[in-house]
Amino acid sequence: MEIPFTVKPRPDTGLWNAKVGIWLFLASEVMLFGGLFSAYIFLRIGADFPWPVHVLKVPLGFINTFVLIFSSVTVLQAWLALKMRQYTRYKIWMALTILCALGFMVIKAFEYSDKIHHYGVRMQDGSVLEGHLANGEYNVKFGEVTTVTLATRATSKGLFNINLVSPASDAGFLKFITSGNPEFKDTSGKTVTLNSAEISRLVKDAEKNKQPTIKLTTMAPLKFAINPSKIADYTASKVIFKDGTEIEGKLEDDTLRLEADMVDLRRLFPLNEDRIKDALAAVQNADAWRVLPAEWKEKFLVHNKKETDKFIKKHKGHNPMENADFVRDAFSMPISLHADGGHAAEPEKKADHKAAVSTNHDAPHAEEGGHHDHPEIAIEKKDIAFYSNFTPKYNNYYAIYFALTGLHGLHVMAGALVLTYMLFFGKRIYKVNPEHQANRVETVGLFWHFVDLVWIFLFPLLYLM
Amino acid sequence: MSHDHHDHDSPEYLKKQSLLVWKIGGWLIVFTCLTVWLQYVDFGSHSRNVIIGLLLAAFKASLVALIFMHLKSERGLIYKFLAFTVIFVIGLFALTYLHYVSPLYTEGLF
Amino acid sequence: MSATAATPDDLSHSDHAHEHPKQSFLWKYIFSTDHKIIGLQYGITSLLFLLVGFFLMMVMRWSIAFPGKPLPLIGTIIGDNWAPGGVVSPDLYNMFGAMHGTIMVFLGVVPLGFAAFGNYVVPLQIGAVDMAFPKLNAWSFWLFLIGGVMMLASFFMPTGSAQVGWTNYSPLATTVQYLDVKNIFFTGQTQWLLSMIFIISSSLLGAVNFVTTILNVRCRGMTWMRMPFFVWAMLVTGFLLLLAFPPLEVAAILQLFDRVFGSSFFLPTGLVEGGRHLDIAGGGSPLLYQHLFWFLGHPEVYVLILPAISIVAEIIPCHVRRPLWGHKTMIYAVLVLGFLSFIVWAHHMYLTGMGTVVSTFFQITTVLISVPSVILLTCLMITLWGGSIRFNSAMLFACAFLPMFGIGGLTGLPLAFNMIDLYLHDTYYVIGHFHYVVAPGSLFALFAGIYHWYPKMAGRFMNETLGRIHFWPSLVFMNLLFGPMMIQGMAGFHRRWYDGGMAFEETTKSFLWMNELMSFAAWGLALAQIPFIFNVFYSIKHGKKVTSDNPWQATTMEWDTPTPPGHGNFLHEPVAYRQPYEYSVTGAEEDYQPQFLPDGAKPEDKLTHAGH
Ligand code: HEM
Ligand SMILES: [Cu+2]
Repeated sequence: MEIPFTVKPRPDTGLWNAKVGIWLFLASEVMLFGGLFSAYIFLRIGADFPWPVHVLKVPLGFINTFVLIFSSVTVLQAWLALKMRQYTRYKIWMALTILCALGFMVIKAFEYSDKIHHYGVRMQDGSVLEGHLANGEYNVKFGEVTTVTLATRATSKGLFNINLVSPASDAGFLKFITSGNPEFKDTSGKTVTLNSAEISRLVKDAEKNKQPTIKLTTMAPLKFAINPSKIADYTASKVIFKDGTEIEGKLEDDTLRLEADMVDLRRLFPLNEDRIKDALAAVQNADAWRVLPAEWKEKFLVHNKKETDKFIKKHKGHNPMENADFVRDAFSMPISLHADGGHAAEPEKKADHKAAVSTNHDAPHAEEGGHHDHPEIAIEKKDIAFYSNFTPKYNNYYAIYFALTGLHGLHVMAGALVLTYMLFFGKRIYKVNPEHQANRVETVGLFWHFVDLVWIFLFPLLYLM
Repeated sequence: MSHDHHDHDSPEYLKKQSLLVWKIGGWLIVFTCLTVWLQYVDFGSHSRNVIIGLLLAAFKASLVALIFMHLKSERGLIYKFLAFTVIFVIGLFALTYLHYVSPLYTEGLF
Repeated sequence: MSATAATPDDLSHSDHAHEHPKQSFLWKYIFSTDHKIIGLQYGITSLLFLLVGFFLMMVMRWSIAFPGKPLPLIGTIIGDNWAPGGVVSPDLYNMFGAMHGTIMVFLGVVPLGFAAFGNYVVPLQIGAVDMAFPKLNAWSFWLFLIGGVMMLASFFMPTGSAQVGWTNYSPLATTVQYLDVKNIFFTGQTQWLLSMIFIISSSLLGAVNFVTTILNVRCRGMTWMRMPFFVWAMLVTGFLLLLAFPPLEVAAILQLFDRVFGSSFFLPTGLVEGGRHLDIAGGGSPLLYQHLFWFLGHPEVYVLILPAISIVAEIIPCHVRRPLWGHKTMIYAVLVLGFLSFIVWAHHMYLTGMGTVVSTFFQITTVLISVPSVILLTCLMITLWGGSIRFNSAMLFACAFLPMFGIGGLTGLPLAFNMIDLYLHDTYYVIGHFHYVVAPGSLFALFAGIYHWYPKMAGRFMNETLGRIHFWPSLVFMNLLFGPMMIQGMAGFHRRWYDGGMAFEETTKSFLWMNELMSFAAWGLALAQIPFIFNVFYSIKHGKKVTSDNPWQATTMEWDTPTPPGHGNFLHEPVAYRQPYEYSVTGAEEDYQPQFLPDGAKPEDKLTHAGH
């Protein structure tokens, strides 16, 4: 006996099985994205930091919207071609749809990598500098390293003393050595040259003897330049890596050098600061202000004055400090050696002041290698309260941005996979029963439109508002 | 919402559908441009821009759902469970924000 | 084990031309797409998970009754790290507590009630040859298994498994096993989230499949109102899973972001852990997590109970020989219940200081939802009235379900009110309340279902004597176990205390003796399950053979199949001719008229199938 209603609709419901199935699935997808959107609004309403607005590149988002809408049209054309029993045309439209999906993902990849290479630094008082790392990297430099202590973490064990993964030191720290060879003496005076195999042997022996650590002394002092993401904690004389390894030496340099493209001083004064004079006074006391080159301080004041005058002219009698848009525009400023605070050559300039600021701030690094347009600012570690690239860690705007677009991207990829399957392996079913293949394409199509539909909300929510 | 299947499979009907799809696709692009443009128009407060943007998005979404996803001519059963889904989503939204509302201690977010 | 139970020795007689007689064992029983095999796979795995969850709980009960004393034997096996000197450490208690809850709910009761019974019985009851999407069905099982295995594997991470309760509240769930770990990915907390994502995906696929099957693959004559209550309840359960799980998936994904990518969705500004300021942006909201979690959490408790109550609704009419009283009423009640269960979730959050407006709303809906529950229970009780009850094992468990579920439900009512919940929240009163619902409630119903449908699956009855030895001690121990919890709870005993209140001896001392009583009851309960486990295996080969395809003289469609049903289920096109519970019909010759009985035919004609 065959399962009924796989192709022909059931008379009383008027639906074939897969159609019921996909709509049910979409209902659950509505709840999934509903949950995410609800999280977005909850976080935005409750945010205790200025919610970033207009920080993504609108043209890219716009192109992607166009791509997805177009692919929605093509997938329908593919389905209609099947309905008209034109298999070749079906294949062409399907291929186009898949290309659109790929195009979408490529653009997304560019956007992601752009964000990942962009950093923000929040100073102790809340003032913020944004930009790219000088030379694209930031390392904590340690010198005169004389001892290295490997950890066995013999006491971190799972149930029944079974560990599926090892918590002990591994060879990860070796790749941060910038000068010197990894040659050591152990406590018994034997010399060892560390590498991955050697370390796991040492750790195993130590575990057998219930020894929590393995202390090694260097033959000659070493120098390290360490990626901070691998560090659990460090002081002036010691670094503890996440895998438990400790090195002792001398902190040489942990200054962060930023090619700054934006200064944002909004977090300096409380949200209810309603006098522009006090706000300006606070600005000129800020940590970020201290490190800002003098010419930019001047430019900032000019910029602020200009925004203030503009606002007052436009909204007579209103207090500008009560307007979040004004506060954003007047107390943050793009930094670019070329564009001169940049109110020129911006396509959206005519539209509104809001647009001007955002596009400016994106403009410089849109050109390849454009980082040299920005002054390099050295920020001491002690002044930094928090820093991160523009990943979910930076703030909840980027967090929800990556969560929403990431999940949406997964949907695009899943859809593209199924579409590809339908394109290359659809012939067999088509030959047996063309209507069956049409139904299958309609089902994927419904999913694909849903992906489009989600993007229709994502685009304005993340890019425009 | 009954419909005759033969009618829906005739070449003329399918051709008409194909045209309609292109047309709706075009309108969606037009409304996207409109959305972008309206976000840069000053309506006095940012929340007005947000509301306008969301309304436009909702409109576009319903075009996709009704025409691209053929909800317009879909069966009652699907409407039934979609209706519940929408109710629950709204419930999730509304009740979660209501969390902050109390006559005792908030002038509130509303 | 039941794989062999389903071995259709006599399948060869079935005349399905397309069946491959020489399917290998692997494809037939492991990677099968047949709903019955998948049902059995779910059944076996979930019973094993229940056993694991039970084991964890027994260790916890030791710590509660005898805090600081070494746990004999098992204590030393667990290892010095978690049980130094064999003494259950607080961390071990937390770990087992969290995993007991998680395993029992997501890997035990739901897969057994919804997936196992649902898979086996629903297609048979609606006269379908299989589920609407058999391959999806297999996928759903395998995703579930992967999730389950990952969950168990997380015990063997260097950090141990998750320790923050089955609710996994942020920020704690994010900040434990966070600093001072080598790799955040290989921590119990992170693995918990990942395996939940698998389990949720499995549930979603299963739910889509169930609902589609019920809506679209019913046999001829199976109109909406002719569907047995079990099928209706599964339909509603399917919708609950379908629409309530995604927000939990959101919560899990966002928490995963918080842990792995360092975001702050659920982490407020200025969070300090172990004296260190966390390197996070802050600005998030722990309450958001609670909302997303409980949006699933409450519907989930109906996912735990609806399959159970509807299994009882199948068993009672059959063994009472009376129609289900108020079949229609029950259907509407379960629909209303399903709807309301989506808008009561914040009654778990009264203590978070949410606004009074929304608190009032949730109090009202919570009180409202008790109405359909009471209707269901009342209908079942009225069905018993004046019947000639067969007290076999299935019926004993079904009957015990009624008062047990009743106690569980009624003790929940006070918790609906903000003022009372402020006092009782997070006490043992709550633990007692919901365990009455899920342990002597759901579990008893699931046992009843196993006793009831076993003859169809295995072709043999389960042993009645062993059934009684299983039932009576279980009933006694369950009450000794959960009754005192209510009293302790009202006395202020907090849940999740590893020492059962010893640390607050001043105030708790007059109730501490109950801890030992309850713990011995728990271990007694474990002993009482041995006859059941034995029975399941023993009866495969040695149980009393059924002489008919409809050994209980029941009326629903699943009894129209050969025993056990082969691939494709029915030997002829199944047709539903009448209502599902036509027992003791006035004027009829027999005391029952099966749903699949054509007009004018006699039930005996339908008892066995040709070729037996
Ligand atoms: C049958 C015997 C069972 C016993 C004796 C038992 C006992 C317990 C105990 C002692 C606790 C810990 C209380 C605490 O420290 O806070 C607990 C918690 C819990 N149990 Fe059970 N349980 C049983 C069955 C079940 C079943 C069948 C389910 C679910 C369907 C379940 C779900 C839970 C949950 C969700 C928790 C809360 C875990 C947490 O604190 O996060 N239990 N149970
Ligand atoms: Cu609840």
